[in-house]
Amino acid sequence: MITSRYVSVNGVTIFVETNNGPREEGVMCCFGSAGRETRQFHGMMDALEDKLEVIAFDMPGHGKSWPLEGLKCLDTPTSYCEFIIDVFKELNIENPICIGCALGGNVCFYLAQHYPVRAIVSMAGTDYSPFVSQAVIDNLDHPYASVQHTHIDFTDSLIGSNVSKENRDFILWGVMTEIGRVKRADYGGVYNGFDVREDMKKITCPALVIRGADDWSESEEMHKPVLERLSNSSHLEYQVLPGISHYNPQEDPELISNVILKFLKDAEA
Amino acid sequence: MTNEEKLQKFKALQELINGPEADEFLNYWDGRFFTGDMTFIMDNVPFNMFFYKGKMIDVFIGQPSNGYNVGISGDAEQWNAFFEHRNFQLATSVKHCDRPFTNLGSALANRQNNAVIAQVARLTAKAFCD
Amino acid sequence: MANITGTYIDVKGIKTYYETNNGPKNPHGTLVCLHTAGREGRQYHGLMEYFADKYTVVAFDMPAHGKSWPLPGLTGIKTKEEYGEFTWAFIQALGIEDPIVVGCSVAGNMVYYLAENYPVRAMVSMQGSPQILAMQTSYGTTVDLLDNPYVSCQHSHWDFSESLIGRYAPKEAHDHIMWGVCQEIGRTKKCDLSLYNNYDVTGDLDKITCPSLLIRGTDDWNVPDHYYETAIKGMVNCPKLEWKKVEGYGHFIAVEAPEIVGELIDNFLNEANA
Repeated sequence: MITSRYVSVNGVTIFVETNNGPREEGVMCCFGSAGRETRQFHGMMDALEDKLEVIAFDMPGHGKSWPLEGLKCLDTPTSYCEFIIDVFKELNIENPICIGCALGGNVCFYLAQHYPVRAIVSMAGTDYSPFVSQAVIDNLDHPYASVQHTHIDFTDSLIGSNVSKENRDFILWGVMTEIGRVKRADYGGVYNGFDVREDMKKITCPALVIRGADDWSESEEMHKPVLERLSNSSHLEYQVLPGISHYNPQEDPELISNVILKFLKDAEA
Repeated sequence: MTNEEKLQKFKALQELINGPEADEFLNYWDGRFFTGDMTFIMDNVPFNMFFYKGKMIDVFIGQPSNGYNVGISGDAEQWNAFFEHRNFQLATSVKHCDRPFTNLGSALANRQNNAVIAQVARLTAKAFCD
Repeated sequence: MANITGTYIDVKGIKTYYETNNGPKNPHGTLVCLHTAGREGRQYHGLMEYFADKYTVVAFDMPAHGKSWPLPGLTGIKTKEEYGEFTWAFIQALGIEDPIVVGCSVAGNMVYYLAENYPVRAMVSMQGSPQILAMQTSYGTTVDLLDNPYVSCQHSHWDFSESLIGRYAPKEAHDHIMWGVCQEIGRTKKCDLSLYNNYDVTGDLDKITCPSLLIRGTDDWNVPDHYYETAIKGMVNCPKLEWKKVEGYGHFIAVEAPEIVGELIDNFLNEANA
């Protein structure tokens, strides 16, 4: 059963959810795509209810977390990731399995470089992502362009061919509830400015990199240098999963959960 | 007040919007997104302001050459009532105002620029009365 | 200090999020709080804090709001009948046998309907009315443009929301309310305001037989006195009916002044049950 509460981190009220799974087996922390919130991981929370404690929290300004002073959001990679580490400390999270999707997939690399983690799973993520044009950034939080409409087609194109209607609908609902200034901070600031290539060799934990085969935005070619830079990971796996695309944890949470469990088992054998 | 005197008030408004009120106008009230004509009609006399990315470039008595973009129109009584309470939403409310301002330009354009027009109207009250 | 926790429950097939302050059971009843148009349950955190040691307070996100899932077709509730059915289904799903329904704005309207049609213990209406009919005017176009690709409602609704906040509202409350604008969901807001502005339950006000408290933040230009006068005129069978005006506060009064609202509710319920 998923339950939630509020905690204060650096003076900001943050919304935290847990599946109340067995922490003695391990704690998994989930990091979502740009602009989204904890419900991206509900499917996985349910799937892993008897296996691991799974925690997700809304970053400042997202979901039910309050924004920063001045109604602002974290808009640089370092401030975003360091805030996550502060949340870990507040929640007494040690040795987490960090999993993330898209922006969250990027974040896992930073966390593994700066915090003792048990393992990381990066889905549709990368260590360097200067991919967003200024024209797009400028219109994410603009009175004449509703991001809840402008982003529909882009998002729809990033949902895999084998995804259920229910899961597809909820991914699209995520677009319809986008917050312009949050999206601008996440996508235009954190994601677009993300570059942790130099410190990838610091990552020594097991690392699973997942690509949805239908994801046109993250090609195989883009993942190759990332995998090469993970040269010191104790157990590195790369999996391409058919029928899904960019929003892996929402598209097929049972599949992703099983893939991760097997990865952990193999990595820690 | 003569029309010339009113025009001088709009010039004072220009100083305000481009000066001490600029930061709030541009950043809190979405002024930075607005480029184009904004017209306030007072007792059938149009006062047209042209903005470029939130900076008021020009103001004159007359209609914009390409037709009304956005703005409001009212008679002396309506403007005086607004100058008194300075609540733009009330002054344009068909629900709660017996004689609301008339919108100029399309409903879409006025909706897109609602916050900008509101703040310009309030600063107009400031320029005229304070 | 309230221990506010949340979870999800299935209500009519919709995964619905709700929070509670985990407060003590009070013989007067359980407060079930309903949020304003386009918003969500955090509006009642202040009230949950106020009643931490006195009442169980519950607030849920309506479908398509906050963390609740939308209805099929990715939409929100559009009619008062649907709203009433859903709210009552939530109350029953939680096993609440003594609901006191508390609502503000669109929910301030809806508590009249709930009290007319469901066996609530009491009702509290803030900034509400039993009758608002404005959709056929040009205001209807404004509501329509809430869900339009060329208009970001997170910007177009900015000044309107700002104008509704009372002059005594503290900065923290002001910021919370304005952040609510930043989080607006266009299609959800359109559903809510269509409901709010096409609403008339005056014909059945005499069916209300529970204690009823009406609160008006007087800085709210959008909800004038005559809305309340219409309500009072029709609520002829109400055993205890009170109208409290609160100076200096506005439309989002539960956010702006939770202690004042809490005290009014507390006193009212004590007197009603004396």
